[in-house]
Amino acid sequence: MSHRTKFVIIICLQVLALFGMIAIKHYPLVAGKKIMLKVMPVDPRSLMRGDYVDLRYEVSRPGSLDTFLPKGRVYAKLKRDDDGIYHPEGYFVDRPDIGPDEAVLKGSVDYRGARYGIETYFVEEGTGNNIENMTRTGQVYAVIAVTRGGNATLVSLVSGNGSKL
Amino acid sequence: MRQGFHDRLIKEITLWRSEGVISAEQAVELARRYRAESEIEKKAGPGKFISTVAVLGATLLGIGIILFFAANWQAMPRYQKLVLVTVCLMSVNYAGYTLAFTRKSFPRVGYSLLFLGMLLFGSAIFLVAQAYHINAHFPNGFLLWAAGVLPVAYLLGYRTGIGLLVLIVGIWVGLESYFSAHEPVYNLSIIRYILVYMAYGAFLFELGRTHKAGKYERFRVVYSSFGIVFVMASTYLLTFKWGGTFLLGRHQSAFNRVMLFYVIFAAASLLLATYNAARRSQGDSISYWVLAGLAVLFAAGVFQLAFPAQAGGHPASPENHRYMYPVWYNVLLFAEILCALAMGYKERISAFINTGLVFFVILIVTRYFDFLWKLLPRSLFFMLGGVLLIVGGLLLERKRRRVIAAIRAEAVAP
Repeated sequence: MSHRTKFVIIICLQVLALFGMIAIKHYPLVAGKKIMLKVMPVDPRSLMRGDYVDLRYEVSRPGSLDTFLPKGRVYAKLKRDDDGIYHPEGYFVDRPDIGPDEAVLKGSVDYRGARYGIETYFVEEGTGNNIENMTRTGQVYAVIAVTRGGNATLVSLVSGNGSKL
Repeated sequence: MRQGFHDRLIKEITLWRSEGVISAEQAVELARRYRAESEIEKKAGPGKFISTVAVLGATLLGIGIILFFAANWQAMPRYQKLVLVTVCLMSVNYAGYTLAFTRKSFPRVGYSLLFLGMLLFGSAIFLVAQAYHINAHFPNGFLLWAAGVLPVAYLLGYRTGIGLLVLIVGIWVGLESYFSAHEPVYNLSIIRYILVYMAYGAFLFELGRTHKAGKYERFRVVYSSFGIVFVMASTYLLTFKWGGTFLLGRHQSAFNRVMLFYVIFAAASLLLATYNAARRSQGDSISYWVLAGLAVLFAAGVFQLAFPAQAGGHPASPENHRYMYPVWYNVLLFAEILCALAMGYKERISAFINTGLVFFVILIVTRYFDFLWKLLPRSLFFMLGGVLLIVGGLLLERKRRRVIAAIRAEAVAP
């Protein structure tokens, strides 16, 4: 194999790794259904990735953590209310069956609580404070795309009246 | 090529000719061979300078691109940004490879573009993470970045790429140990992280020594020099008297995940040191000394981590143990400097000598102006250091005289 071919293969693998990252997170957007969750944000800054809003949800505290810590995994079963918002209905170690108005989120658990991979929302530089203020004065919801297996991608944040933030 | 080398060479050629070692034709040929290179460097600037300027340019451009994407400019949609960064990544690598290898027309600029490609791969990872709001374990981004840089640097035999790799892995080590330990920021036991970097440095140093021969020999000095800098900088941070109360943190649990990284790097460097010592030809005593030195270094580190109170410097330390810890690290840094100088001279690696001298100056200046130590202990430190160096100089000079005498005796012998 020539030097040039090896170089081309390495660069292609780099690009493939990037597309792999994209594919994992893009799959729920294509194959999953969109649900809305109520959020409680705070606003730190990521040095490499710019401004972001750190989000917490009702499902971030799944009751007693002792049940889930041994496996480090939790499934939060969610049920849709009359306003179209999903709220936690129960927490399981193994994936539960869900009905038409229900969804499930797969998360990892440590002593700080549960994380579902939807806790960080990157915003344009300087706009994080506005979003933080909006959560104090009104209600902010997260639109999440989630597969039947519980893998989720954060799509956007919307205000109480449905406009995108 | 250095100008000084050319001047010395001309002097030597004149001497060889006058002594009849070489013929007139040989003298002309030797002078002609090196004159062209010397003139190029005189008129167009040294090649190394051009490389440095080009790499600095690539670094600035790379950082600029990382910051541009970090600003998360919403006017450009996500897909456009992803396409832009992928196209940039591929075209910069293509241009760099063409200039440096295919056409070989601008190799120095070509290499700097390949360096930019390495930076772009990192910025692409963080852009994807940002575009899809990925928060899964932040340090993994650096690990993936390192995994992309490593094969390129080795394939191209590119030393600057290895330097970048060492720094990326260094950042990953700090972040990963911090994240896995779940320590609250206000109560960090900073000394553990410093010791982790010390072990990382020792690992790099030994990794460099494994590259001593063969295809990747040119990476040896890069790994080992970075290793020495990591080891010495970490030791230096522990030479202060206030280290005990500030660096240790309030909470000292018996075991912590940060220590796991220390143990992994310490074990890896001891393994590499054993491997390096075993494969060396007989008579190379340095490898065994390095192995012994590392064993002492890590034994002391493990003692420090496992018994912080007994090691001294800790608020709970007994009064007579309190000074033990900074004294030990001052002595250790001094010993490390001497080792770097000795190895640098023995193996003719100027980077080791320069690093040793820089840290020697830093240590001396810091201790001279260190108001935390009273004058008496400081005076003892300087006197002891001075006596050690003078005695060392005496021994070295005696050895040198013997070697010279032996060589002369051999030359005179029929």
